[in-house]
Amino acid sequence: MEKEVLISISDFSTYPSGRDERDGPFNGTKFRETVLKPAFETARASGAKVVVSLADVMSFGSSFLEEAFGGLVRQGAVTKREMRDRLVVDPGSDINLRYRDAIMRYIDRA
Amino acid sequence: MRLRHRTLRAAKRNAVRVAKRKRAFKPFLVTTWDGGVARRALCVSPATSAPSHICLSENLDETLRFIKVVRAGLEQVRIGSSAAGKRRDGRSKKNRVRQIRGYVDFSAISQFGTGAAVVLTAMYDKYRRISGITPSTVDLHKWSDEAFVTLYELGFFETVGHIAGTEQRYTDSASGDLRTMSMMTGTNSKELQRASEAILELSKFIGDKDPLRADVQVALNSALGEAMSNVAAHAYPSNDAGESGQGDLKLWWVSASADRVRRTLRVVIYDQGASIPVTLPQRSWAKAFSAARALETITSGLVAPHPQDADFIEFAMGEGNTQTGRPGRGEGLPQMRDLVQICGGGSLTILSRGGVCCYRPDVKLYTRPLPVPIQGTLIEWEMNLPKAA
Repeated sequence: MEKEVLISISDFSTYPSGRDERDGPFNGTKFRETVLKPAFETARASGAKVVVSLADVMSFGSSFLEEAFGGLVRQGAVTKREMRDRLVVDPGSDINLRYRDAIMRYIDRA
Repeated sequence: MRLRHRTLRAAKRNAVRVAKRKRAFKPFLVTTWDGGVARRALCVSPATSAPSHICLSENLDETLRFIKVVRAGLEQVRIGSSAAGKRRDGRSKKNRVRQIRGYVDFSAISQFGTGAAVVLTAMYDKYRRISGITPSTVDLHKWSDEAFVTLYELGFFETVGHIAGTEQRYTDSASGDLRTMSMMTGTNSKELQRASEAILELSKFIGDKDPLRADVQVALNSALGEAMSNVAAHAYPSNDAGESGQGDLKLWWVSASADRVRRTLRVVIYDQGASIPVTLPQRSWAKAFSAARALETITSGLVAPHPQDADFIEFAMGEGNTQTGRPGRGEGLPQMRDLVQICGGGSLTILSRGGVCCYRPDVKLYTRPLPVPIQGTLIEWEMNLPKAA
């Protein structure tokens, strides 16, 4: 069984939005720095996958998703290649498929 | 040259009309109310009549002209202060009827659109926050039920500081198939959850148990959160504070309305900031500016103070076209547009300074300059809600 580091965005907030503190309290920068980046560091050390669950989240603002996932690549913390190899986005339900695709798009464009 | 002569003749005719009206005008008594005891006042200037249809989607130009007049009146009061009926030492003159210089007459309104009601209430809210003055309503008993109910449900009276006293009339007047959500304000996306829950509650007025599908709910929250974040990030640039006198008042105003006959849900977010055309960086202007549009505006005879603004809004609605010019930006407005597609029917309308841009799925984007600018930016989604299976 492959090792996994599990993250649920809904544990961070069910209504995440915006890029930084100015935009709102549950923003992409905060999620990236306090949740996503540490998860990648842990996963890298043990050769695990990072599984991000979108279940139970009620909003997926493009600024939030772009800053969190695209921002991680842009700041050089994780390469696009590592993102593709290590990141698994679990949409949780069919209605979130478009947001999973958006995340992958933001990573590609970063 | 000929145009100049025509303009001068029109101005002269208008001046004669105004002078005649002034001569014919006789001061009259009105009842003013600011949440306390109703008082009589002598109105010494003609009232400004609101158009019967105040609606940004069905009577845009006239509504914007009316909003401009109300805004100018509020600014005049703020600058000139409302010293009528008071002595120089600030004490009221006893046994003297207070005088007012005109007012806005809401009696003829038969349709009051949500967007226009939000803009008007936001203007009064800003006025009260900056001046500290609670504006009086004049002849409230003559207001049409449509105007009263819409503004009551929106929370207009609480917003302007009228704490109590309108409930009974609301109970007597409220009926019909339209319900408006109490307006909310905020500075960023912190209030997203509260707004989302209030809109969901309002949507139940349509009649079904769950009128908003889960995917539409998430798309609406995403779009609204994006709009709230945009206000925080772009609407009130720091160098704008001094110019506009907004100080710390960098707010958005949100409301919604549900129509159970047409099965539509309208969601509106408005800010009184610098506007999209102003906050687009210079390098984007050249890309967006359409010489054809400018020519079209001139030849159509439409007097538009900002003829290229509709193009700037259209440009900003395109993916990757950003207000910052930085990589990874410019996804917000396209996401707002996506909501309409996910919903399966409806529209997204953006009014910003001197332009309007309306998107409907499968229809060519509608854009045009505005004859009267709107202060800031208004975004309105109209969502058609299919009947539950």
